[in-house]
Amino acid sequence: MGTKRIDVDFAEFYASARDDCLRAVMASTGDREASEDFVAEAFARAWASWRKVGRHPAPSAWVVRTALNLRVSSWRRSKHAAALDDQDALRAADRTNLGPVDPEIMAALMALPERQRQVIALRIFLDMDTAGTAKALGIAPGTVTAHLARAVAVLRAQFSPHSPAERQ
Amino acid sequence: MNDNDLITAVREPFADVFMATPVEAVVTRGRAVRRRRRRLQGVAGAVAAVTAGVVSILLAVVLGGRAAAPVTLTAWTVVTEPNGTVAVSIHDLRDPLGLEHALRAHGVAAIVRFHRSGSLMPGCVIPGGSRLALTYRRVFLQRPAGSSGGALLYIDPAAVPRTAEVGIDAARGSGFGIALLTKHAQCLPPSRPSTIGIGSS
Repeated sequence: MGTKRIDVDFAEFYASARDDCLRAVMASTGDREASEDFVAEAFARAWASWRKVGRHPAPSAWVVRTALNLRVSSWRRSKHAAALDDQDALRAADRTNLGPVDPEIMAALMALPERQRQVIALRIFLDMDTAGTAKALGIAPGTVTAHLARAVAVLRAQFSPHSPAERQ
Repeated sequence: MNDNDLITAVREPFADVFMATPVEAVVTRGRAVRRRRRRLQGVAGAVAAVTAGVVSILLAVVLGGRAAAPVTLTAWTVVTEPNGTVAVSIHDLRDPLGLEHALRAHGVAAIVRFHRSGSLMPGCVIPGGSRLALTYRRVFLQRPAGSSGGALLYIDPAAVPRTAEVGIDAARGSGFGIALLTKHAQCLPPSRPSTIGIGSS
């Protein structure tokens, strides 16, 4: 695979996948700007390893998984962030970091455990099936199904008419 | 609310989220990532090579000083047997200084001389039944118990007197001589060379 071919293939992939990858990562992290940084870095690593990533069955999932790993690494480097749980992170985050996303929607997502958020993000934003989601996250398909069922149940309760989220 | 409604409810608020980073910036960063990765791989290779070199030198120094590692060359072989004796095999009369160093590394101070022909070590005469003859028998062992056998010469380093060195003198076709020498390379006392042959000679 020549360098020009790599650049063309990668540019096509980037154009088609970047927004969904960003949305998936943002739904997992709750931070628009940080998510863009993580996703951009993940795409850069994908370009650097395009001979391998280009043959991946789901390159978008590879990018999202890499971005989420970068976020974990970033957390580990930050003593301050390591002391915060997801709820604290959301409260501490500047609401402008959510971009155009409704803060209440993001709050409902951030109320989910992290793994459930990741499953939701891959299923909804990357249209991945159970097997693909399981492979991307390195967990069993049955675990994906269980996480998805619990997350959907919680979100349904949140978004249903007369739910606490909508009464606020 | 069914599943499709739920998916729409979650997906729709993100519809206006777009990646603002241009592909050129991503590729530029990707090039930097690849350069750094290659540099790290080069550094890792260099570190591995240097580490291997240092470790091998340390092993040679530490193990050589403790006379634990067998030194094997095509010309001769020096091995410390489990019972502590040093077995010396000589296959070719080459590199006498190397053999001296190997013997020292195995705890045997030695002077080694190889000749093309004739001129073995001046005859060292050991008075029969003397204490020195007993010392010689303790230093230069017949095949000791527990040894693997097959070596030309077995030396007990612990039996070599502190004031003496082992002398090995060999000539092609003339066998080899062994002796205990003073620090001035004088026989302790002069004795007749051994007539044990080397290889086929």
